Amino acid sequence: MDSKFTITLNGKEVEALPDQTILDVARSHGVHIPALCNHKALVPRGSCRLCVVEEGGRVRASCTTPAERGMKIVTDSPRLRAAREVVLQLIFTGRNHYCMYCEVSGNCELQDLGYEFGMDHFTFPTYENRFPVDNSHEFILLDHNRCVLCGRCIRACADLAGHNVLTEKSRGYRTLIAADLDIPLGFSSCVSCGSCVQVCPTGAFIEKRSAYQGKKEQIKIVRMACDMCPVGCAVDVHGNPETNSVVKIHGDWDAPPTFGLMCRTGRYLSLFDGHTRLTNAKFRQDSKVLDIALEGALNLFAARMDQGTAYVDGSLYNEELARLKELFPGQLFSLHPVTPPLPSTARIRDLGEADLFVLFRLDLDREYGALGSLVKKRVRSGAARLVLVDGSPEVFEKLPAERLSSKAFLARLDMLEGAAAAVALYRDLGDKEKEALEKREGLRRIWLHGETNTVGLARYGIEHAPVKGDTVFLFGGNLRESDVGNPAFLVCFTPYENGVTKKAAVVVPTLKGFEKNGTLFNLEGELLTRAAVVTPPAPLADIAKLLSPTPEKR
Amino acid sequence: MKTVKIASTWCEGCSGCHMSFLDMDERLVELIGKGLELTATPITDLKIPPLGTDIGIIEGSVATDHHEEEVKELRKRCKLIVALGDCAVFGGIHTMRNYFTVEELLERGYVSTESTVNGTPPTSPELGKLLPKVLAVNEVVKVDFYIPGCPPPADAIYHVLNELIEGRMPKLEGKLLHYD
Repeated sequence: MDSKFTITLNGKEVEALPDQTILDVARSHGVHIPALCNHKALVPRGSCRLCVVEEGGRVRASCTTPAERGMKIVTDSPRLRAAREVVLQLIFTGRNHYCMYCEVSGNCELQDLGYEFGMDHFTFPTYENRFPVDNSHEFILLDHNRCVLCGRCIRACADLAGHNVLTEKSRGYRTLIAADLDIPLGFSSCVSCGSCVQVCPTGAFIEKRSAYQGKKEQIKIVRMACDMCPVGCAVDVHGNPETNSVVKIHGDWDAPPTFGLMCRTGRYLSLFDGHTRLTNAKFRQDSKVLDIALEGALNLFAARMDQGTAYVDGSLYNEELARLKELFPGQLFSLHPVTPPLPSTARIRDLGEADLFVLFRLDLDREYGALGSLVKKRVRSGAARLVLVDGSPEVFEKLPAERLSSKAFLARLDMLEGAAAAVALYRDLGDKEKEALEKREGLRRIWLHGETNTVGLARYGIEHAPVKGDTVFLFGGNLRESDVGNPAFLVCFTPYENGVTKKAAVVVPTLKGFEKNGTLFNLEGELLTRAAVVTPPAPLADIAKLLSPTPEKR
Repeated sequence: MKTVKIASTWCEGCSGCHMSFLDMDERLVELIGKGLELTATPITDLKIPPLGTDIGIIEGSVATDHHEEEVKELRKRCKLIVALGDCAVFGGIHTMRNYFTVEELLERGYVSTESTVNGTPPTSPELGKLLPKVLAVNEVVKVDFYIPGCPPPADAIYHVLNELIEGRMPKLEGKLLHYD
């Protein structure tokens, strides 16, 4: 292992590490070099030329030049400033970088550079060329007029997220970002992970849902875990306290389990809540449904509490489960299975070192999408093979994969022999598959369960049992009509109207997602935290403090 | 006391920058106390500034032949030209029309608009003729100082005028320099 060495930075000897670029070294010693195309989560590309430095009389891009022993670097000089100013002028005037009506004004890296350089006018003619706007995507708007061709989106799409959708077409200043073989983004193989939007330094990629919903200074960012699936990606939730809404969600580049990767569900669907929200407690008498006060509904529940059995789903947080255990000692069960067909033996980070993936009936582009990115990257780089058992033909259709029926897979178990680090991913397994995987020494497994806090249910010792009895209490956000028969007295605690609330004698509206504080376990058993970002639309029941002697107002 | 004569005009603009100018409030009185003298401005409603005016302030972009003439005239009559606001500095929001021809623009504005019935583009000879493209002021005449912003903050306008009156070169930094 090569060790530390020194280079001269603006006349001062500083330490550098092997694998560091000149820009890395400068930043690690607090020396500012302006840069635009560079992004900490991406492989450097050297396309904007704003980060130029002088080295041995030459002007070089510091983001792509490795630091070498004895280099003498100057990071600021009249010559460099002149070079950077011309570059900045060319970028600003090449397309429409007029800030006033741009969504990201106030939160734009190009604008920040303009201010840094004190740029107060353009020296080249502007608005000479009109570029298209791609509005075909469900969540993302791509305005080529705002693009600076830094290539961050392309690098994020390929190197970070493994989707390889974005590319460039044409040449020179006419270059455009393109999807697949130049088809509109909305019709491309884009899986809407949103990484391109998160890395875009300007307003070229903007999110339709969050556009114009609040400027940087109006936004409060809360760091937490996503609760849309049991992967539990670390996210920054951007909330606007003024409008009491969640504006957008960004991945956290520095935090496990997925280091900034996200999926359509976590980034976008969690903002588009298609369910009908319950804001009133309801009481059913004969065929009439009456809106009643929350207090009244809780009293009705409390009066019958010791006569029935309670059931929960995996959407509840640990604090809620703990409170329900206190309220229903020995009478609390899970609606859905909590025990795996085979327990997990691998961590999410192991996906980055696997040389063979076996996926059972999973479409990781549409569910557990951040894990899909990890698998795709590994397979595409040639480091791992991919076996899809009983997958539909559209699953990972751009990837080289062996597509096998379950039977064919069981007949070819020897394929696992050659792999040093095979990982199997599954939600459910047939008996024969289970037997085959269980026996396999060295094969690592990850159980992808359907509900977010299934591990929490197991840790709190809440076992699965079918709904029985005349008096039934249901708690959760994933309630399905098929979960429950027709008990004589049904009380339902849920944030949404659903098939179950139509049957219930008493319906109590509860807090949901961004309104709750709490913790949960992800599929690895890591404890994740959630924090309230918005206040509920009406007084709602907080299951974590249900019937507690000193209810806190929220 | 030496007086510093200023003139101002607005071309293709919304008058917001002049509002910002007035937004200097009592500091305008302070500047007048230091020798600032308003000659021809939309505020005084005089049209032609005297030759040898010290500072000519232009709001708005150059969109018609009238603007072009006005800007050139102001340049001739003033020692320094200040481009005030995003339109004068960068071309501004009107440059959105640069992606279309003048014919397309007039057709859309006066004929095919959903709310228009039997419309025709105006033809009065008193109206300025649209230039093929909307231009920033520095694409037509030499500009000495730029104050970007939509509108520029009154603080920035005060800073520039005060520095010029006191014989220093103004420099916009920090909160005084913004593009939106």
